[in-house]
Amino acid sequence: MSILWNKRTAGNQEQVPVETTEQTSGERSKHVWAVGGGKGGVGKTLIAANLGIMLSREAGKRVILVDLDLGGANLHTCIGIDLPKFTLSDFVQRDVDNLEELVVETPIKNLGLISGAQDFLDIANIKHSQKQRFLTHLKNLDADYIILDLGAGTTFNTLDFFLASDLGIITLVPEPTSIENVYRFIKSAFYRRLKTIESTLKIKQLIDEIMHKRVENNVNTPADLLTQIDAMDPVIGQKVRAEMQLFSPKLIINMVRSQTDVELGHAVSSVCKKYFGIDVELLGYIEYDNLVWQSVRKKAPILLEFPNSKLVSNFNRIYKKLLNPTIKFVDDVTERL
Amino acid sequence: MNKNNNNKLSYYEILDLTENATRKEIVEAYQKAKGIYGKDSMAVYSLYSNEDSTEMLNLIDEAYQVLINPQRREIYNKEHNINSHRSVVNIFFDKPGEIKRAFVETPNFKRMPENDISEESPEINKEAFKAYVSISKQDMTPTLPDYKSDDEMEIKIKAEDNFYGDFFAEVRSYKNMSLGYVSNKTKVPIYHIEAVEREDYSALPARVYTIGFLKTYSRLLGFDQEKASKAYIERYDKAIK
Repeated sequence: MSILWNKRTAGNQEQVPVETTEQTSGERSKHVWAVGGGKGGVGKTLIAANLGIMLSREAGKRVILVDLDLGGANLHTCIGIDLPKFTLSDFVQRDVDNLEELVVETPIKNLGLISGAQDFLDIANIKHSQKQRFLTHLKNLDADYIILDLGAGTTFNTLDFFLASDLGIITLVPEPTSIENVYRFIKSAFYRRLKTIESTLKIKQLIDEIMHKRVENNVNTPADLLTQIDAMDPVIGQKVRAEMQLFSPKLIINMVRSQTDVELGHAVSSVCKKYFGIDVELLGYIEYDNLVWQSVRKKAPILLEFPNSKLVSNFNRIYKKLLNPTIKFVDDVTERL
Repeated sequence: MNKNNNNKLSYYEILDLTENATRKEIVEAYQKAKGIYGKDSMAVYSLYSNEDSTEMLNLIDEAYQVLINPQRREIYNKEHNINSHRSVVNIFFDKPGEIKRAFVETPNFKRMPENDISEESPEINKEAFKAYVSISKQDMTPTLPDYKSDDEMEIKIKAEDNFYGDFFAEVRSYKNMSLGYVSNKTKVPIYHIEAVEREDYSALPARVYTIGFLKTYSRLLGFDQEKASKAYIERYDKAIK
């Protein structure tokens, strides 16, 4: 069976791109999803945890949640378990040889968890070789779905984990601060991705040339850059576009209070297409609900603690759309708000 | 961001439309796009400066002005090698002599204004195209334009009963009023004035606003505002039903 693992990693000047080798002995198809978004407190952990719960409970899939909020991990708390004895720190420091050993079972059937490093703050700056080792182990985990809960910010590690996933999910709340960070996150990921393409397609000179003459060529946005590459070398342009096509994150808008908030999701998607030249599809929305903080205080996942909450149907819709991308976005928030 | 740069996007892309978009879709997309790039819009926060947003809004207006008018749209499509079945249907499913009628989808349409584009339309007329594109940038001065009074025309205005959209356009043209001037004087957006002239009910706002527009526009053209708006709105009501 094929391994659904795109070679989507990015490098920068200091680091060579992380290479992921194709697995040949895989037993089932694997999906790696990453949840990011640049800003803290926008619901990344909430979304990662609840999507994991839905996939394991509803679809009966083996799911492993991986807390990659290095230095600030608390996914275990949202799932309702204590901090596991072994965390990613032990793997990074080679106290544990195999990532599989870190997987702890949760009270939810089929749902495993690898907890992020808690004890060493500098763990957030893991070296390139450690990152490569981690990614190799990650794709060898025995699971159908591996869900990465990323930290805030746009560090190279966070961007690399996001780009290394098959599906990147960006969380946004309808506030300018969140919008700003989402755009910064997409911009950083875009250029990190382009950096990898730059070395594989050997187009550094071309891009340098364009950037050098950016004013006269009217290159002001990433989308302009792609257009300019097209104009200068249509063959390369097509290749670059095909590669950038793999970077098409999905968007979830959280803490929605009105129809306007949902429309903001559509608007951001439209702006991304024009500004970055990439598709950022709106997956769905999650309504604002006081039950969220109540469930966090109870240290219990909201889907289990409040099964009749409106959030359950919000998550259900997103989950269905993730499994079947042909489902149309249904925009009926006004009916209930 | 400057104009040349933004021009890399097609009018369809600017409004997030497919090339076969219907009139209704164009109007909705236009209103949505105005919101996205409007002042204080959160959707472009930190990405677009005020200047960039204004530039984008101008482009959105320009795209709308062209796409909403089937003739202009057809010219644009031809210039850009776009095959949109919408405009093809508009042009070719009609008898040669009636090409002008075919541009308008509403049943009550009678005739297009005299100064509109040539009847041999499918040929690309670059000058006409440019003139259309620049409509949004037309003279917006509030000074009443001069016009040569024509007795026959004045009698016609007094005797008119139907007040079709094209009659509004005809008189506006007779009185040398640009769309920009009318918009400035009546405070009605250009696209609504155009919709009135095309009798494009789907592009017009709610009934109560439309009546208001009709009255102000009629007053400006020197019509009996009650008579004109009543005649027009009767057709509007019938069509809406």
